[in-house]
Parts: sequence; C-alpha cells; structure tokens
Amino acid sequence: MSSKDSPTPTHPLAHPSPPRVFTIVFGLFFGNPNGFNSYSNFTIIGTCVGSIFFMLVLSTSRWKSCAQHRPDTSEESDGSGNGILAMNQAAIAGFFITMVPSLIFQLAYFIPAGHGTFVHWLSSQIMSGLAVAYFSYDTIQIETRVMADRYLDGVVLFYSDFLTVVLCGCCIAAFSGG
Amino acid sequence: MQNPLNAHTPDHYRRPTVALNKLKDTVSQKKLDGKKVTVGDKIQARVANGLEAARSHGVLPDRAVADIANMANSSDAASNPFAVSAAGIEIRMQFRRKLLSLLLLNLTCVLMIISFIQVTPVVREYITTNRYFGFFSFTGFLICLLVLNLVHDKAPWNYLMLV
Repeated sequence: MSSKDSPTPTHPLAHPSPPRVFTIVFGLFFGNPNGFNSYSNFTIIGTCVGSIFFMLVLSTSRWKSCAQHRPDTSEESDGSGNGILAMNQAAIAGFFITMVPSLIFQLAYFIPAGHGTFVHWLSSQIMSGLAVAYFSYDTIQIETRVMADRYLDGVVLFYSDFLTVVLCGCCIAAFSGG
Repeated sequence: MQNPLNAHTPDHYRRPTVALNKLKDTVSQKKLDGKKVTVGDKIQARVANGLEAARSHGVLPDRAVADIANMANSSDAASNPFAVSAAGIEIRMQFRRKLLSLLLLNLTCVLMIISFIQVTPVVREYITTNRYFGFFSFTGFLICLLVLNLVHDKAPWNYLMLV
C-alpha cells in the first residue's frame, strides 16, 4: 500500500486552533487578584511546579543506594543493583527542596514589597504540600490503571480525578455548616 | 512468534467483549449460586450495559472499554498485567517522565497566566474592579473539570479540553 492510501493521522494537539479552555480557565481562576491579594496563588502554583520538577528528576533517576537499602522490593529495583525512588519519597524530597528557594523568594521579594507575610507563605506551603501529595498519590493510582502508551490520558486523569476531591471538599464544607 | 506475556494473560485484559461478559457474569453467577446480589453487583451490571452501548455506538474505543470494565470489576482492580505498574523499571521511568513532564508543562502555562495577570497593571485593575470575575472564573473552572471528567475517555476531546 502506498503512503497516499493511508492518511496521516492528525495528532489532537496539532489541531490548528485548539480551544485552550481548561488551562486558561484554570489560570484565570488562580490568577484572580481578588482571591489572592498576598500573591499566594503565585507561591502555591510556583511551589507545585518546582516540586513536580524535582519529583520528575528524582523519581526517574536510577539510585544505587535505593536498591541496596531495599533489595527485596522488585517493583522499585530491576535486580541489577540500581533502583528508582518511590513516588511518595520523590514527592517529599521534591517538596522540601523547593521549599528553600520559595522561602528565600518570599523573604527577599514578597515581604519587603508588602505582598504578604511569613504566615501567608506558611499557609501557601500547606496548600502546595496537599497538592503535591495529591499528584504523587494519583500518579501511583494512574500507574495501576493505564497502559504505558496512554500517558496523555494520565494527565487528563489528574484533573478529572480532582473533581472527586473538589466534590468531597464541597460535601465536607456543606456538612460542616459552611 | 507469540508474546510470552499474552500466553499467560487472561483474555479479559485484552478483549473488551470478554471483559464485559466477565463483568456481567459476576451477577448471573451469584444468582445461579443462590448468593445475595448486592447493590454493587447491580451497578456493575449497569456499567457493563452502558459500556456495551457506548462501544456499539462508537463512543468509546475498544481499549478504553476493556480498561473501564476491568477497573469496574472489583476482583480485577489494580491487577491489570498491562498496566504501567506491572511493567519493567525502564517502562515505568519513561512513563513517569512523559506524564510528569506534561503535567509540569500544563502547570507552567498556568503559572505564566498568573504572572501575566499579577504583573500587568491594566489586567490586574480590570479583574480587581470586576466583582463578577471571581464567580465566573470559579464556575468556569468547575464546569471545565466536570466536562473533562465526562470526556476523559473520549479522544480527542479529552486532549482538546485539556490543552
């Protein structure tokens, strides 16, 4: 069969004018200055981005000591003496690594400029920590559900699973009288 | 040459029809055995019927039907031999790399939008003075999540919705 007979499949992301709905609405919701006067939206998402970056680096690198300390865990080690970090360990490490530059940024820029206090930073870190914990937990769950070639579905699942978390939060708020 | 993994893998992980029948058989087998059919079993049967209808109308691809049917069947939950968790260390590393990179890219775009709003005085002023903006952005966010949840198995709408 010639190449002309088989039409080249168009990748969804290569659509000429993809409706960038979700990311824009997500950005507008979190970028609303009325809801975040202290720039904590920037701190929360920035810390999440940093944590996920380190989570990505740490959880996809081979660690000699990981296999030495945990030789019996076949899921994290290929038996050659090298292993990869578990997602939760990578998430915790990534979060604490990101916390340092975040604190420096807050002390050096936001607090002197009057954009929030140390308590704002602390509450932002709690929110970021919850988000990073959610992402790491959901990554583990996604790995048990999807096949290796469906990584794009995994990204969709991060947000579609988040709806369940939002609904649970709404239910808790409603039953708490809020 | 036959894949050695396939030789030892139950068919319902690869074939949607077998997966759907297995889901339905849970209820019928319980009835035959004289066991009590629970609400969960009835939901499983309804899920199987819904998936079958979606598949016959071409709404869901075969692989998605097989995945959902196996996830809905509680006895097979988290035991899919084709899932990433059951794959080798190299495949898991590659999967994590792609998955987290895309998430990172997505969140970086969100961070850029936030930064644009915060550092542009005109945009910031407009949003601050428009008191309905918060309500509409929150409602829009929830609607987007809901739509994303509804179409998360329907390519390419899930990808188009996400980007």
